[in-house]
Amino acid sequence: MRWSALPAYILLVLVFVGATLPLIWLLLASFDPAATQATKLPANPSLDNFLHKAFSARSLRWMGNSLIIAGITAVLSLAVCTFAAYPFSRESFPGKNTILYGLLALRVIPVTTFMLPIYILFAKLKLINTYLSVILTLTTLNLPFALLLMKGFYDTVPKDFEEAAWVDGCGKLRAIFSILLPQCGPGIAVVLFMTFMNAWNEFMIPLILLRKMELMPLSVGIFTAYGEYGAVDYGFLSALSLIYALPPVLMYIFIRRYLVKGMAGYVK
Amino acid sequence: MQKFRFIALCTGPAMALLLLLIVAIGWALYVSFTDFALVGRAARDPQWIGLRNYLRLFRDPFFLHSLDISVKFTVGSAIIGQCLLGLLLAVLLKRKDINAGIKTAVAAAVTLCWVIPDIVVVYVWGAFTAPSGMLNTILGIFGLPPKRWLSEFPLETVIIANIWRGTAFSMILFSSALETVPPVYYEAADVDGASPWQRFRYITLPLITPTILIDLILITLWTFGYFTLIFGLTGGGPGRATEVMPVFIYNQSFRFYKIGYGAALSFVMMLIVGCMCLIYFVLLRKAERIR
Repeated sequence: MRWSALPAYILLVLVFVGATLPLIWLLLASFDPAATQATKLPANPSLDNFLHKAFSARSLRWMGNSLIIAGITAVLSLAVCTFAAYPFSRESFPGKNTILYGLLALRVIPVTTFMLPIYILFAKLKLINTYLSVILTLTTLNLPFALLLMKGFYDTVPKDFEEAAWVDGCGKLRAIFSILLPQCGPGIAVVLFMTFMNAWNEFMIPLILLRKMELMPLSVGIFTAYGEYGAVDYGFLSALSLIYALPPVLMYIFIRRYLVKGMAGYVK
Repeated sequence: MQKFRFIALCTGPAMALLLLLIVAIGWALYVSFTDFALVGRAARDPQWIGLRNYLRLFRDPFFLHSLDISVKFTVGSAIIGQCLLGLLLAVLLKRKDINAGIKTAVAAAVTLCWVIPDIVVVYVWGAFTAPSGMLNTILGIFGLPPKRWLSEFPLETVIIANIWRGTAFSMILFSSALETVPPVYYEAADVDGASPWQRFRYITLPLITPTILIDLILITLWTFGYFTLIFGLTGGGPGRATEVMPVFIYNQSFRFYKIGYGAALSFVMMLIVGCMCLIYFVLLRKAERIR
């Protein structure tokens, strides 16, 4: 180690400590049946928080809701953008660039901007307190990202393959399925994972659209349990938070490579 | 003709979803000209009140206050915090004279804070800054008195929490931009005996300026519209000390049930965000031309 690198080392260590400190409490509290907001080593460490409390009827319900919402959103987003991305990659038609710019704008505009319009629409349609409203909203909000990403993957596949298939009498739709998609495996995976992750993490949309305890996903459920008056069960909430945070972390590790590429798309 | 039928078939479902959003926005525009509310007479029979919601907005001191808080939150946590720290980290993580294991650990820790769901960040920071929380424990070791962070320094606390949560995006974006700088430039600089600062100032900085600008506009947009962290940690309080615009809109609409007014507020926000979006497009065009 050279002395000139010392300031850099000190800074990196400080950042590392700062980043991990708040999370250490979460980890310790999740193994402590008598956890409080104070940081302490569990007096009687146990897996009780995970094995029993985190899988109580109430939190299982929230997990199920999160899975339903995120799962259907992911599959629906993939289904919609698989087809929609094709003309944007292969054909030229009037309005194409306008729509692409619109999608690009929609991709960077924060969701809160649409909080009220979305609420008003589903209130008028009498779809408040239904999964459908949340799933439709999240699919729409994920669409720009999913469509542009899928288009990017289609763009990398030479058109020759499909043209050869057409000559052999293969229909256009069938060519998407049997020629194009098999070469876009990573694209399918990234779209599925990212839309699942976005829907799984989403807090505000279910907060305004689902106002019943039994419909809440994990995000709103954890928030509600945290805000409850009286004694907050920190051990239970920490264990549940860890379980809730695990899928996004695993998925991130899995698709990191493509994600960084996708982020470069903000610049290109 | 057949081609257009095929295109319509493929893009149909996607366009239907986008149409849903457009209908929602249109409906909200109509509602913003009424006194629609969730309870009372105005819920059953909303009246057309023209521009009154919009006129009221500019006389509403709480609206102007929320704009002010939003600007402070965005400048503090995004522009100063996330962008500067992200750039610093990206540059440090590229240095060759630093242990690779440490670099990986720092990058992983910073990224972890970004990947975990927002509501977990709220929960963790609520405990971290609680009167009996870890922050006060650590300060106590240095003999500093404990503070009630979310009551005494609410805005500062949420700004730091947002830097903690969001720096990874800028870091990753800058890291991938640094990858594109040709190493020969640095080699040439070494031959000329340039100092690390000169290498950064005259090689790195000019080459990644487009990325920095785009990063700035993106995180400004997102931080301006960011809801969950502040809503979860303080709900906009204490008082209105952290009531940024999205939280203000939520409180007006869902706590005071003034949907019509909330809709008008949303359109003002749409206008602000739309302007930022235009800047983003201009920057994208410029960045393309530079390449």
